[in-house]
Amino acid sequence: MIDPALRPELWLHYGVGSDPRKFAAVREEYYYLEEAMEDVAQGHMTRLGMLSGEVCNRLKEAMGSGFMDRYVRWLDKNGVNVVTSTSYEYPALLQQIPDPPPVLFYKGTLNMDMQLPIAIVGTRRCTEYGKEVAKKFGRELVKAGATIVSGLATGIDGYAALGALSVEGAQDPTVAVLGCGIDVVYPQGNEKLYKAIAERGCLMTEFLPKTPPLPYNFPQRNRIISGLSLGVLVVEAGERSGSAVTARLALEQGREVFAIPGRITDLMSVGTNAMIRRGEAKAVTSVSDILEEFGEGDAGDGVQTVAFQSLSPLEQRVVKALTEGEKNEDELLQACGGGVDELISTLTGLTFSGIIKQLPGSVYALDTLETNIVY
Amino acid sequence: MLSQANSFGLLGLKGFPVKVEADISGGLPAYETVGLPDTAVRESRERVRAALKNAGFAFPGDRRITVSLAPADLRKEGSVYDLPIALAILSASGQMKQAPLVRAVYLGELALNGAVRGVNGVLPMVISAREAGESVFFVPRENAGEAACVEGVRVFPVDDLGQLVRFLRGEGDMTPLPKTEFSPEEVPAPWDFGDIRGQAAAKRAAEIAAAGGHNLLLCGTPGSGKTMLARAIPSILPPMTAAECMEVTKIHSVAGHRGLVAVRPFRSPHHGASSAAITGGGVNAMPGEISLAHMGVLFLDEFPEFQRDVLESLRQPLEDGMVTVSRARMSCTYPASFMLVAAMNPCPCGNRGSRTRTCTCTPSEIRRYARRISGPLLDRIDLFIEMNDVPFEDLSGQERGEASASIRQRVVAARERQRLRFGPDSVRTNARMTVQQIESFCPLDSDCQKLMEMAFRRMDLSARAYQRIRKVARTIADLDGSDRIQQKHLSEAIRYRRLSILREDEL
Repeated sequence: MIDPALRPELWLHYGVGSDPRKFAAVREEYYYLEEAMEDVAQGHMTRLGMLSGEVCNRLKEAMGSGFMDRYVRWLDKNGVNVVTSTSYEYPALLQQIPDPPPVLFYKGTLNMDMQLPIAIVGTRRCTEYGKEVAKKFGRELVKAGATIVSGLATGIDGYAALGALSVEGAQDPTVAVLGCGIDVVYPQGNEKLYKAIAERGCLMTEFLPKTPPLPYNFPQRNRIISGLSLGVLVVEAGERSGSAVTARLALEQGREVFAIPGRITDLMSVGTNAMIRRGEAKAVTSVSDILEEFGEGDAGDGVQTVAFQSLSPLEQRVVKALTEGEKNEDELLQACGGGVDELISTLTGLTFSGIIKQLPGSVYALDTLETNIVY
Repeated sequence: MLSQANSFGLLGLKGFPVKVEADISGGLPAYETVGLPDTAVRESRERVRAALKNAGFAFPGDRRITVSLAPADLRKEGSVYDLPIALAILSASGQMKQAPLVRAVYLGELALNGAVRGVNGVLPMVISAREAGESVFFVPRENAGEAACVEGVRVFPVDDLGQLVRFLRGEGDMTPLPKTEFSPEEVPAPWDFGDIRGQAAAKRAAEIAAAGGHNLLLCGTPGSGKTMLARAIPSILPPMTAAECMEVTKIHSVAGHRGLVAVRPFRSPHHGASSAAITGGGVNAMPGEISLAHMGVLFLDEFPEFQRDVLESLRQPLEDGMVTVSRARMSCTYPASFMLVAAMNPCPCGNRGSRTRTCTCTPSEIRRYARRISGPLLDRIDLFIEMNDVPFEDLSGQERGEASASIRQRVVAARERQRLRFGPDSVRTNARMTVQQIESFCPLDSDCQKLMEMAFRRMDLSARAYQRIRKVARTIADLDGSDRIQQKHLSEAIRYRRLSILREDEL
């Protein structure tokens, strides 16, 4: 149930169309928003001169008979909760940023005092490498007690959330901040993830219900992602990307920025490598690199250790061949000898034990994120 | 005067006897054809008139001619009745005797100069006529080869009307064709596995598919050799038996392909094909590509680009090995037991997984592309294999691969093991095993069970996939000459279930 005391703020937030600056301006004029409601109800608009006629009309419309009742009833019915910047439950870190969202809609459980909120963001068009890394960091950070903040976009954001949710029994594994209304599933392909986060984590947005995912919503949304977090990890970013915006906002807000270094030839690592080069981001190669910034102990890197000697002769030859880089079946056959049937069944075994992984196009590589081989 | 000649008609692959009757009487000059003739049959009037005249016979054009094709309630199609109609008119007008016309079956189209041209569907007609007790056939020389391979018939090849009439009058001489044996020839396949460089895993998958009659999906970047591999598959399938050749030739004969089919068919319809072209249809309920690929390979390149209804219409024939084509006027059942080889790109732009080119597709584009192939259809495909492009140096550098002939020997041996296991007349290949047969022929020991559990956890498999993997493992064990499925067989089989584009753990 939504606290009736929140109604004035909901009313104003509706009227200004979730614009935090206009909201703040009205707040400055009226300490008690009830007075503003009173004025609008009676048509005294003089103290609201800083607002455009359109906004004033919306405010009047919202004062109309039963409007707020319907609005609140709709929120209740759809399982949407509301927290405002004046309430006690408002996330403490978010309160500190220059223009905190005055009203947040959320589904799921909102933890005002998250232990270690870390944002993982990156390109929507991620590579296989970015996908693996995002899932892995999402998972390992949650195991170390962190909460993953992300944007529920396709690509890195989605995979990070997926990695976080894969930790069973975790408390507050993930928060997703939307660039659209709380009831809008965007991108549509993420519907499963949307539901999973609403159930086990928290979905939030400052935008009014039914707001479509307009392009200019996202930069505005990004300040909440970084604002909620102690640090922002950029996994992959192209030359001009929204992740770079999030990273810059994080720096302005005084938060830590981390980036995963990539190959200099990878288009999707241009942005991250540039952040590292300019000194804006700390290069990160393991979860511990992030944890040590916040004085958290080494949580272990979730990597299993396998003795090279314990492998069969053919397995040893395969592992040896793959240390030189990824190879397809033909190349492995040339490097390791033996029959193709033998090789294929060996590859299945090695994949299942997490020693190697299969990339698209029947290419194999050592799964160094999973397994450390000791010679 | 009244006269009659025997001929045959076709309904699907089944023939029915047609009595061609001609009556010539006084009255206003006229020519009437009755007995549900289609346009080609009705036009026979013009061909018969000209052919009779040019072959040196008289056409009773000043009398009333009635031609009736009995039974009157079945539709008659094509030009096959030209010859019997001409003979019946000749007999009715007193130019030859009636007797020989009812002791043999006459098939053939007439040219205006009196020559006899080939027609469609001679083999199934002769087979049905033989079953109905006919034994003497006069067929166009073009079709004589296929007709003469039927047991216990005398087939006279006819070159022109004049020659035939002289023979029937006892003036000339004609020799029946000796019985032609269906010899599944060793035609060198146009594509040999030895020509394909690299792609060891894909070739291995093709070998397994051929050995167990499994359906195969190739997924790879453009230029990775999917089409080449698919085209080479008939060269490793076991040679057809005489009975199989006969069955395939029958279907091809109905579809208008003349001559004997002695090598396994390879059909590759374009992805724009309609569902009628694939499964069969048209006014005459003709066989479609899946029936023409009977006993051979149906290759569908650019698999996701086929229309959805076309792909879905494959499901039932894939399961039953036959298809019933129903049209308003008729309904025909054609055999359609083929090996499906499908090929697709790994993503819409085609470069996913390539090392030389970069993929520009978004995950949702890839997902949408993969979803064009429905789950039920994928469930009917046993082996998935990904192929990647071969760099040029590899193409020129490597030595020839193993030749088709030696792969085929292993395939034949594995098929023989299956034949012994299943006994005659029931299921012929591992791919067609029923659930009960899987239970009794594909037991998994405890090591294999453990591996299977691991696969389920890691790969998120369905119950159907479980059965598919066991079938493929059975075939791999057969190729290995092993009576029981060992762990190495199973782990190889599991590998052919992985296709990164279809992986379910995506968002």
